[in-house]
Amino acid sequence: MIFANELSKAYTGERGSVRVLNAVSFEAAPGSVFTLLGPSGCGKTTTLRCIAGLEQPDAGEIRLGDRKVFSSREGIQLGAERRGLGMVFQSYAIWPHMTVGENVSYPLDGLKLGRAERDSRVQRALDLVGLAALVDRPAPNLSGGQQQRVALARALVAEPQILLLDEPLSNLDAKLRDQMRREIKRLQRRLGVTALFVTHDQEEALALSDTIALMNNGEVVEVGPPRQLYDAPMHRFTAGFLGLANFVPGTVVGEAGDGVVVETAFGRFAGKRRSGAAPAADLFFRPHKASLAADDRAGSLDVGTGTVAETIFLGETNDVLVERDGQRVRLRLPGRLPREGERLSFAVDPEFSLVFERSSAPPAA
Amino acid sequence: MSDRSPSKPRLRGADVIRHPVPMLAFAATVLVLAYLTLVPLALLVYGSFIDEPGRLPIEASALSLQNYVQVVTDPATYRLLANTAVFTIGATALGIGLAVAFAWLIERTDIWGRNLLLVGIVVPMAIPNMIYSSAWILLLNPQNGWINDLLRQAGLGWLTFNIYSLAGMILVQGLSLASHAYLLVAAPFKMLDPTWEEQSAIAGKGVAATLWRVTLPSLKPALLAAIIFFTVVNMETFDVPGTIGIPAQVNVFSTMIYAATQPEYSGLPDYGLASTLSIVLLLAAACLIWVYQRQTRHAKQFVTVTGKGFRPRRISLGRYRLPLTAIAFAVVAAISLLPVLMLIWRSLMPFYMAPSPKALGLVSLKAYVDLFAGYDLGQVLRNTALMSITAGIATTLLAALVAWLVLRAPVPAGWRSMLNRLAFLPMAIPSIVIGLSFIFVYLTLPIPIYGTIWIIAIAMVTKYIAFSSGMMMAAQMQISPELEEASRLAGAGWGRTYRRITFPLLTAALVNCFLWVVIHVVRELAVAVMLYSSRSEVLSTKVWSLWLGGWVAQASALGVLTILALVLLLGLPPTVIRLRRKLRDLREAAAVPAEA
Ligand SMILES: Nc1ncnc2c1ncn2[C@@H]1O[C@H](COP(=O)(O)OP(=O)(O)OP(=O)(O)O)[C@@H](O)[C@H]1O
Ligand SMILES: [Mg+2]
Repeated sequence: MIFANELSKAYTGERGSVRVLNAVSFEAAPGSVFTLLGPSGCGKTTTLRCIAGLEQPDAGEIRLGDRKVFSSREGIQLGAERRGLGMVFQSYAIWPHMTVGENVSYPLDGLKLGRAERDSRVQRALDLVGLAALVDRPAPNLSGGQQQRVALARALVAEPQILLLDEPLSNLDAKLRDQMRREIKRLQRRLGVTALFVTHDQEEALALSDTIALMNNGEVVEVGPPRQLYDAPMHRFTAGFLGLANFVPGTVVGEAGDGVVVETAFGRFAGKRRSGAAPAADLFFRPHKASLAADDRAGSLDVGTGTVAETIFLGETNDVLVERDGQRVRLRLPGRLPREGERLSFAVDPEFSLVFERSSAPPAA
Repeated sequence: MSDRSPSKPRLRGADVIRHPVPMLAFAATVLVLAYLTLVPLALLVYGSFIDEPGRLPIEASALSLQNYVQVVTDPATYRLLANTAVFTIGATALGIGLAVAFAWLIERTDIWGRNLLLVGIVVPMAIPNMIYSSAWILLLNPQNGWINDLLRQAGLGWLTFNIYSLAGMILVQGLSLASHAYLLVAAPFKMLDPTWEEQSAIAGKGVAATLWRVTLPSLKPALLAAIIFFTVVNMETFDVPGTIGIPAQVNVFSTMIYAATQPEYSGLPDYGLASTLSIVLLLAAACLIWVYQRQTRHAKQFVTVTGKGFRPRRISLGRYRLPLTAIAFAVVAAISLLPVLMLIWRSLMPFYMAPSPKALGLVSLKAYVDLFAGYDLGQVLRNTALMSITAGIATTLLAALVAWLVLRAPVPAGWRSMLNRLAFLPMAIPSIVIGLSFIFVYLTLPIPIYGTIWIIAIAMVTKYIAFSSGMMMAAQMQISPELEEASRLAGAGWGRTYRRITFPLLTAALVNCFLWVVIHVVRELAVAVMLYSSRSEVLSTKVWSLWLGGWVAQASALGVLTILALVLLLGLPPTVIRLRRKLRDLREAAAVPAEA
């Protein structure tokens, strides 16, 4: 288990101090993949490095399992070498003056193992990543994917409970990335380690995680399973950051069941209210939660009407931009490709419509 | 749990991770550097307030401003200033001018024999300046300098040149500087983006206009840095002024400081006056170093270097190709070949004979035999080896530590930049001043190494720690911090991480730095000449004392041997690199079957 409580950190530079982490809290369940996701510069790496012990937060508390490794209140700061973690660095950090075998056996040096036990552990770790044949290969002549595997084997060889991964896939090409993603997930399941994973790639996060903590500007915005964050985000930032999103400006005009009704340029829609009571609101729905509606349903609740402004054929589906009164929504409609300029009615699944308070800032996506 | 640190209830500071090992290393390094630089400087300043000739600062009874009054009011000071300025500016102009001309010819044009020219221009690197000066004295002294003789024989007596003059000092220092400066200015010439020059050629400008209007201005930051750097070098140098200027009675600051401490020149050693002169020189050097640092920082933003592996197109010299080639070879011969040949010739002659077929009959190895038989050369060689290797190892290790601490230590950034400045400080301390201040330190502190080779070795560490730290920082920067962090995550503390990861990755840089220091320590005369005794003679001081004692053949012979040793040392780094590459290739070849 990884437990972070109210971590704060500021860097003091020439132009004063910059707050990088602001009361970051989360808890990663044992044996799960916990992902820190967020835009570039939001503090993911800094958080990970604080957990690793490579960086010291200004305030807060970190526990790993039942060990308290950092606490500003109690004056505890355990060095990185004493936290018993495995870590895969973005650059892999394979030591170039050693062979593959020497790289992988290095973490065992402090453990006082017998020669046989040591060799068998190295062998097992390399088997795990499918590189057993390369034990004696000098580290510099490995491909990117092989280096990645060596890094993984090295992180796992001392059998840590916790594995930290900082964008481990970002230096690989698309095909290899997909393959390694599966392998990491398989290994993590098999070994039952808790993995703390950092990425700015939302697709990767959705595919790999049991839980995602979405970060922005040094704060944790929202924590939850991928499905929940994607389908029923509590925060506007989450809705905008994960996947494609429509935010249609409108006004709350009434209630409907457990939600509210919003009047927009395209029509009236029902949706679950997320925050605030102001009438000015934005209707949120994902493009693929809309479908073509029969013309005679125009004007009824959850159906919108507009003119097709742009279409793109994507194979399995079509990307359709519908316009009305200067507003646009994006829809993903399978089947017939609508003509540009055509009048079109679409229905939005009220299960997946949300109503957010109007924000002055434009949505992130 | 045992992991609690009970003392501090609250942590302070933004990026401080309290770890005893780096903290201790940091504190120890600061202390060592302070001991190597600040303690001598403090005693120097103290010494400058003492006006009791014949006495050391520690023995003085009263402080006074008399030395400063004397320095400011004595017209001799202004003559000294004028001499130093003319010498510095003249030698810098000649040296940099030659270096730039050769850099352009060798790196940018289609001149013939480029590799040979290159070898020729860098040869003086292996010749200590004192020995270089002696060779030029043999060639150009007014009585029987070989070149002067030839000129007189040819009826060109009016062309003879007296080396015992300010102009002679400038000539020798400038020629020797050309080779050092070449290495500094050739790199930017090599990497200059050729498209700029091509643009100018397309715009219809000729070769000369292109050189003057495009090439040189775009190299201005690099050239300016080189000019300032070598100005400092010339201002403080002792070898050439000491060998040529002292007998010619043309003094500059460094020789004046030396003379003030030598009873044979001034009756009683006047350490107070020497200290005051040192401080004037030190302040001037410090100002220039400050400008140099600003300039080089600035230069980084203005990079003319693209770093791509293009092969720059060479400028065709056309009908000037042959004459320019001839001139270039003549100049290189004068810079490198002529002095070395003269030195060899003189070392084979029992007494001076101008080179001629007739004199060949007199050739003998007597001077070399004398060195080993009569002058206890074994002791000198042992001293030199021990002193230079100790200084080399100590400087290299200290520099590596400084580099790591400045770039990587988990201490506040302010501390690290302070350490950086402390390590850079000796750059501004002239060699002769280091020598003088070390006399004070070891005649004051109860450390009994005065008069041994160890005081010279420690002074050499002070002299070269700034350059070495710079070299090691460049190497440390090449090592990604993640390589060290990965080791800590793998359970290794700071010590083991440094030993198993950082240090091995620095091997090549450490070897280079060590050889660089050894070469310079062997060359260095000014530090050693202030600190040696009959027990602790080293190569440079032995040549010096043989020369002063009139044992010209023996001095020449020892000079030839020194040059030989330095050539071997200079050739070593490329050999080491080749060897390492070969070993790695072998290891790779051995590892290939494992993949199948
Ligand atoms: N040593 C440092 N000194 C000053 N500022 C820093 C330092 N390290 C990080 N920062 C700043 O802290 C913020 C967070 O950095 P961090 O590396 O944690 O971002 P990130 O979320 O990992 O981004 P990315 O996805 O680009 O890797 C950034 O604005 C960065 O500029
Ligand atoms: Mg990052």
